[in-house]
Amino acid sequence: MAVDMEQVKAALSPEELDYPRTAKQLGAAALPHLEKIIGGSDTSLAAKAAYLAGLIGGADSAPAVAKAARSSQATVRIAAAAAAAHLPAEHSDAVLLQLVDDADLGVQKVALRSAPATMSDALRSRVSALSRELTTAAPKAKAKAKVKKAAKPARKAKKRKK
Amino acid sequence: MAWGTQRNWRWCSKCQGLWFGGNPAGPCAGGGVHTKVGSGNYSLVHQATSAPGQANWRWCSKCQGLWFGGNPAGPCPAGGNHTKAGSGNYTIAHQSGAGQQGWRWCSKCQGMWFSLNNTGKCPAGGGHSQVGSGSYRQLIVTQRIRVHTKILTAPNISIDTLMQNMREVYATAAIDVEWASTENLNLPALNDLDVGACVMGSTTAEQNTLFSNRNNVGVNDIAVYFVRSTVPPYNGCAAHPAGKPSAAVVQTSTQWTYAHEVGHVLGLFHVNNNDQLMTGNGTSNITNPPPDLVGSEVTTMTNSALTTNV
Repeated sequence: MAVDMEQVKAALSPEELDYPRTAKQLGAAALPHLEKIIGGSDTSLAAKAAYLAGLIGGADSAPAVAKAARSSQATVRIAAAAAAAHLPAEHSDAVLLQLVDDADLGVQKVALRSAPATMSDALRSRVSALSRELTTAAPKAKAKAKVKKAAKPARKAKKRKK
Repeated sequence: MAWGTQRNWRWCSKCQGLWFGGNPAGPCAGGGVHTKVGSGNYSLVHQATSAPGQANWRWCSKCQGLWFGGNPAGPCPAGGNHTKAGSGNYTIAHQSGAGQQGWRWCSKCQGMWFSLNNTGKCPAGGGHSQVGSGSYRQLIVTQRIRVHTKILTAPNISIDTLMQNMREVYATAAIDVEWASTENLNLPALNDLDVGACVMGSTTAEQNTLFSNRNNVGVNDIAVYFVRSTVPPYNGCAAHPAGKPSAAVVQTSTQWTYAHEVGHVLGLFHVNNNDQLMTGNGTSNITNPPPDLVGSEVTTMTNSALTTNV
C-alpha cells in the first residue's frame, strides 16, 4: 500500500500512539518518509518516527534507526535505542554498540536494556563492562558521600577551635 | 511555581460588580450591601507572576469588590477610594480564553463589572462605563480538582500556559483546577521514563517508582510528572498504579497534552473528533481551540472520586 508523507505525519500525531497497529497499517512503504522525519526539526515526531521504523522491522528499517542513532537530539537517540530492540540482531548490534557509549545517561540506559540475547561478542563485552561500571559506580559514589559527610564535622570543629 | 485559585467571588445583581463572597457583603453602590442572589461561584487566579491574562487586579477590603490596581484607586461605595491593603494580586483572562464573557473594567471606579445586563450602579455616579475596556472573562465553577506538578525536565511550553489552558477547558465543565504545588525532582534515571505500552491499569517499575514521589499530594489529588521523554515515545501517558492518580507529560508535549492526560486520569477515553480535548488523533491537530468536552465526558469527570464539590 502506498503512503504519503501527510499520512505518515498524521499517524505519528496521537498523544499515545499505538505503535504495533500503526506499524502494521503503514508497513515498509512508510520507511522513506520516516527517515525524512527523523532528519527533520520536529524532535517529537522524529523520536516517534525512529521507534515506529524499528517496529516495522526487518533489514529495511535499519537505515532509519541508524540515522536516528546519529541524531544530535538525545530523545531521538533514545528512541533509536528502544527501536533497536525490534531489529534483527545483525542490525541492532551496530546501533547499540554506538549508543551504549553515548554521553547521555538516558540513551545509555535504554541502549543497555535493548541489547538482544544474541548480541555480538563486541557488544556483549561493552554491555558487560558498562554493567560492571554501573554496579561499582553506585557503591563508590556512596562511599565518597560518606567520607565527605564524615569530614564535615571535623572541619567545623577545627574552625570552632580557631 | 504554582499559582493559586480563589473561589467564592460573586456577581452583584444590584451594582453588576464582582465581589468576594467569602466575607460579609460590603457596601454596594446600588444601595445597602452586595448580594450574591442569582450568582454563580467565580474562580479567580491569584498570586501568579506569570499566568496568562492581566495581573494587578485587587480586592478592596472596604467594599469587597474587585478593582484594577494598575491605575490610581477609584471611588469606593464604602467611602473614599478603593484600597489594596491586604489584597492578593489577581490575574484575569483578557481578550481571549474561555469563561463567561461580558466582563468589563469601569474607567470611572476601576471596578470589574458585568456588561450584558445593564450598566449597574457605579460608586462614581450613574452607571458603569466600558469605554476603553478590554474584554474580560470569568470562570464559573461548581467542582474542583487539585493538581500537583513534579518537574524532572521543564516542558517547552511553560507550565503556566499548560495550566491556564487546562483551567479554561475544564471550566466549560464547571470544574476548577487548583494548582496545589510544584516541586523539582532530581531523578535523572527516570527522566526518560519507561512506560511500556501505556495501558491503563498496567504500569512499569519505573512508573511505580516515579509516581511514588508524592510530597504534598493528597489521596484524591493528581500528580503530573514532567519528564524529558517516555520510552517508547509518547506525548504523555496517564497509566498509573492504583491509588496514585498520576500522569507523565514529556518536554515536547503540545499545549493541550497536560489537560488531555489529566482527562484520562479522570476516566476519559479517546474520541475521533479533533474539536475535542480527548481526540485520539493528536492534540496538535485540535482544530477549534479551546477544545471541547461533551456532556458524557463532563458526567464522567464529575463522577470521578478526584472531583469534589465546592
